[in-house]
Formats: sequence, structure tokens, C-alpha cells
Amino acid sequence: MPRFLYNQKTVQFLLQGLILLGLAFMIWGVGSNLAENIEAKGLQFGLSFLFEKTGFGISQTLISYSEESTFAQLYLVGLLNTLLVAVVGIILATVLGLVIALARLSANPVLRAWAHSYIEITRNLPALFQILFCYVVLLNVLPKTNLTFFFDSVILNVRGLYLPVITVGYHSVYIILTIIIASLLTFWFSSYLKAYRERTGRNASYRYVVYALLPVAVLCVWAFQGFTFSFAPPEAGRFNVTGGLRIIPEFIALTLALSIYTAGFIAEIIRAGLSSVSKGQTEAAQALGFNQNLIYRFILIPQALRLIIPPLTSQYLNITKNSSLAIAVGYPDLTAVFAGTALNQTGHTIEIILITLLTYLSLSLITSVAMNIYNERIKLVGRT
Amino acid sequence: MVSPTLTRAHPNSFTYLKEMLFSSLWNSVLSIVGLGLAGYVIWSLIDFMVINAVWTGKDRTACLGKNVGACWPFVYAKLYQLVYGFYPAEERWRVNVVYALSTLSFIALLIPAIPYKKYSFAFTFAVLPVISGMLLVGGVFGLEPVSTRFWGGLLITLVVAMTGITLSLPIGILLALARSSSLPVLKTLAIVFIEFVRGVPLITVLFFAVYIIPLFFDKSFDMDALLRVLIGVALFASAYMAEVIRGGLQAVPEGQYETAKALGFGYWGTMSLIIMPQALKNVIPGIVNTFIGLFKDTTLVVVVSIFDLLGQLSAAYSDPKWSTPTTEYTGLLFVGFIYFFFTYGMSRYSQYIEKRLNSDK
Repeated sequence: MPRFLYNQKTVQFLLQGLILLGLAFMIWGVGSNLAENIEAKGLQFGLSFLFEKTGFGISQTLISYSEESTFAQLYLVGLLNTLLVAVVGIILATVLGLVIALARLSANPVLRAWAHSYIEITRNLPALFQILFCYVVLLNVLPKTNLTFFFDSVILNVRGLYLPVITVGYHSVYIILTIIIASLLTFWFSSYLKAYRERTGRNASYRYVVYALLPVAVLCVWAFQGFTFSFAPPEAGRFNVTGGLRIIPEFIALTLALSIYTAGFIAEIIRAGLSSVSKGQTEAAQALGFNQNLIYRFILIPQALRLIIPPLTSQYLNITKNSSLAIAVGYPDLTAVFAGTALNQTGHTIEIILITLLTYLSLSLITSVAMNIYNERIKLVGRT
Repeated sequence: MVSPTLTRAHPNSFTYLKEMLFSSLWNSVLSIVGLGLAGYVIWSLIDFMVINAVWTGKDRTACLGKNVGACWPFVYAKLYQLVYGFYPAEERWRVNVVYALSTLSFIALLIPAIPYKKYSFAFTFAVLPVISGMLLVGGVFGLEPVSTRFWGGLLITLVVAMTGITLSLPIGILLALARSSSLPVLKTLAIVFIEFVRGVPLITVLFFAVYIIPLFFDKSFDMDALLRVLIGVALFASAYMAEVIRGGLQAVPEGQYETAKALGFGYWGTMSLIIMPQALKNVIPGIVNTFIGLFKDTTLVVVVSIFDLLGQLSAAYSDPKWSTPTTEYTGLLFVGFIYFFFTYGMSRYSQYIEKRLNSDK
């Protein structure tokens, strides 16, 4: 064998060169086949279709949308619907998972048995099965004639739950944004308050300013919009209900089923995290006179969080990705409207699927990055 | 947290009840409500499935009426569809042979007491797929060819799951090795592939496999619909498997690599004879968990018009001939039990193996 082949670096370099060559060849072959097939099947390639009108309606849209809207707006509608399911699902699943985990760890054998059965059943049955089951139950349980609550302002029937549209100011979204931003600011400032208290042992005198930030901000924004307020209940017509904020049963089935499914996994993760804290910690705390509440708050949960956060992140990602199952129950999420309906209506298979894939990839990456930042903050410092 | 302990060293059942279930007012309320609810649920299930159930009948009229429970005639009528799909009746013996062979080979592979594991492994992962493929697809040895359009139900579920499992392990191992490789090009390619596939839902991967991968080939090559799905599922499962195996690789002590180098093993020798056996043994629970997830994910093929067990059930209970209030619940319960049987069985097996491996140490 020639001498240069005995040099490890040379061999590695040559191997990588071969791999790149092979890859380039594959891409060339695939690319030429792709071009041929696109021409043969009459598919057009290009992103200009995003500005054409769609011509079909969607049953649930968080932004204004009609048949005249473009495919780009359709994409936004789908994305917002997916995000809605993801956010609501994550919150519900975490709360439910926490409750189940605590039940699993309780001293009461009845609670433990219930939690264990719940976890086994929800983790072993497929997600799609649970979604279909919830959907079937919901469709059978919802009344076919209108059921009204709160003096006819809330209507429930098999086509959905109709809530009154409460508009605060010109558009509720301004107040909602104000609340979110003000809450975040208050949360941020309260860390300064806490640092002051720890440093001096007294409460900061300016703490009322921080507490007042949220209500004052909301009042200011509302005053700026003239203190307008409107309450528009849904109207029960002869054939259907008009007006009101409509929550479709597909959304409830999808979100509920996904939350129930993921809560089983989250419960196991939280349980494993809590069990990993050594028992001596609890015993020492009990000897010092901590009650259960304090033990959980100051000793168990902070230590358990380090073990819980990474697998919890992947479960949150799973909820976001499993929201694509909406296509099976007819909920208009990103996959269903964009990679489903839009793909059938236009011929742009490749662009649509690529855009969908990239969207989910971005969502996953953003969630991962956010959780990694949080993870870095609570990680064990010291050992590398 | 309060671990379940009692105050007396040798409690009798009365003490146990008193301290565990009724130690405080809140605890007593929870216990009574929990027990009552459990009894109600179990009784309702028995009531639905056995006592009020209908056992014989020809169509929906048998299952109408007040207080009717499960509609078992519906399940009988649709049973062949649920298990075989629309596989031609005269050829069903081939599917049965495949089922029997698979069961036997998996029993031989999975029960630790049975010897000759190397042969079971080789048979299950190399011979069995080929034999099953030939029997199911036909066209060779005088067997009538059966297009995959006729396959359905449990047959599709098991074919997709088994193919995914059989392919994801070797491809996953190669991907994990590439991911941990010292060649930057290979490592980057592996990372890009794994992170891309893990970041997107299986449904979009299936769409990609069904709509886009056929475009990569020559236009005269009409790829079978099931084949596209199998490719998509295999790629998806391989990425997850690669991450699991990488975890196992990281747990193998550095000294093993160094000793192998000192003894003169090359890369492939080290990997196949020393590192991989240890790595795989470390992560058998993780591998089985991936298999369980893969089995559950086979339900997703219904979105690309392949009718697996759940898809076939949805089609079956839409049949107007059997439309009654309890048809859907009966079907869902039946299929639910089947899925639970497989996945719970796999998870119990994984726990059993984990215990055995830990007791070895």
C-alpha cells in the first residue's frame, strides 16, 4: 500500500473528499430527476403563489381571513392555530402532569393507584387514538339543540361553544398585550425588590410603584382608547348561531386529548425528578420543622428541576409536533390547511412541504433554545 | 416528600386502613371518592362490555334500543377487515404464516432462557423480513401477487412497525457512529440530518416521503405507496434511534477505546467487537421505548391514505349498515385493547430486561 495511505490525516481527508463527492453526485442526480419530474407533471416552481387568493374558507381563524385572502395569510392562520393548540396544550399538560405526579407520590394508596393507572393508560395508547376517542365522545355528548348559559350570552351546541365577544378599547389585543408586557416588567422589577429585601432586611419603600405598574398601565391604555367597552353575545338564529367567539369542538378535542396524553409523560418525568432528590433532604427538613408545603417549595422542587427541565423540553416539543395530528379531526392547523388543503389546491408540493418542514423546525429550535437558556440558569454550578 | 410509611412496625390491616386512607379529613374524602369512582368506572366497563352487550346480530337493528352496551356483532363483521384489510380471502393463509413465523422468532429472540440468540437475531433481522416480504407481496414461487393497496388493518400496523424497527436499528447505529465520528464532514451531515428529522412532526416526514421522494427518482419508476411510507417511517425512527444509541456510546468508558487502540484494533474492529455491544446493552430500555413510540406512531399513516388498524376502524364505523350509538365506542374499545396489549407488553418486557441487566452488575 502506498505510504501516504498510512497517514491517518491523509486518509481522513480523502474519505471526507469522497463523501462530499458522493453527496454532490447524489444531489446532481436528484436535482436532474426533480427538474424532469416537475416539468413532466406540470408543477410550477416558485413562491409567487403565496400572493394569490385562496378561494376557500377556514373554520377557525385568529386573524381576519376570508376567501379573498392570500396563501400567505392562510399560512399565518395555520401557524397561529398551531401555536394556540401548542400553548394551551403545554399549560394544561404541565398542570395536569404535576397533579398526577403528586398523586403518584402521595401516601394514599388509592391516589397512587389512580395516578398509576392514568399514566399507564395514557402512555400506552397512541395519541391519535386518544384524539379520535375524545372527538367521538365530544360529538356524542354535545347537545344538538342550543344549550344556553348566563342569560343567553353563552351558547353550547354540537358545532361549538359560542362565547360573547368582549372588546375592551378599540381592539382587545392592545389591552392583552399591555397586560402581558406589564406582567413581565413587574416580574422583572420584583427581582430587584427581592434583592433589596435580602440585602437590607427591610421592604423597599418603592415597592408600591412596582405593584401598581400593571393596573396603572392597563388603565392608561384603556383611557387612551376612551374607556370603550362592548359586549357582543352570540345570536341564535334559526339554522345556526351567528356572532360570538366560536370555539370549535375539534379544537377542544385536539387540545384536551394532547394534554391528557402528554400529561402522562410529564407526570413520569416530574416523579422521576422528585424521587431523585435524596431522602435525607426531606428527613432533615422535617427534623428542622418544615411542613410539606415548604419542603416542596424550597428543597424538593429546586433540586428536582435540574433533572426535570431537559426531558420536559422534549415533551413540550412533542406537543407542538403532535398538534399536526389536527389533520385527522379536521382542525385547521398549519399542516392541515397548508400542507393539506393548499397543497391540493395549488400544484406547489415541494415549496409547501419545505415551508411546513422549516416552520416546525424553527418552532422546535426556538423552544429548545429558550429551555436551554433556562436550563443554564438552574444547572448545578461548579462541576464541568 | 412523605414516603408511604406507617407508625407501627408491624401494622395489621385496620391500622393500615386508618393511617393510609383515613389519616385526615381531606385524606378520607379523597380515599372514599377515589374508591367510589374506581368502582363506578370498573362497573360501567363490565356493564358496557358484558352485561348489556349485544352478542349476535346481522346489522344495526340488533344494537339499537335503550341501555344497549357494546355492539359485538359489529366487531365480528369487521374483524377480517381490521386484521387483514382487504387482503384476498384465499390468500389470507400467507398473512397467517407470516404472523406465526414472526411470533415464533420474536419469542425465540426475547425470552432470555432460549439459547442460540445469535441465530434468532440473524433470523429476525435478516431472514424474516425477506420471507415475510415474499409471502405478503407474492409474485414469486407461484404465489399470487397481492398489491399493497389491498393490505390494511393490523397487517399494515405490524408491517410498518416491524419494518421501522428492523431498519431503524442498523441505520440508527450507523448514524450514531457518524454523529460521534472525528471526520467533520460526516459529523456535520449526521447532525444536520438528525436534528432536522427530530425537529419536525412525523406527519410532515410522511408527506415528504409520499410526495417528494418519488420525485427524486426517474419518472418511469412508480413507487409503491406503502414503500414510500416505510421509507419515511424508517428515516424518522433512525434519527431517534441514533440519539438513543449515542447516549449509550457516551456511557462507554474512554478506557475501552484506548485499550482497543493499544491492542491494535482498527475503527470497525473496536466498534463492532468492543464498544457497540456495551453501548447497546446500556440502552436496551431506551431502544425498547423507541420501539414502543414507533408502534404508536404507525397510527399516523392514515393521513397519507394507508389504512392501518385505527384507519380501518374509522372507515368501519362510518359504515351506515352498522350505525348505532354504541358502534364507535365498541370499535374504539376493541382496538384500544389491541394497542394496549402490544405497547404494555413491550414496556413490561423492557422493565423486565432492565431489572435483569441491573441485577447482573
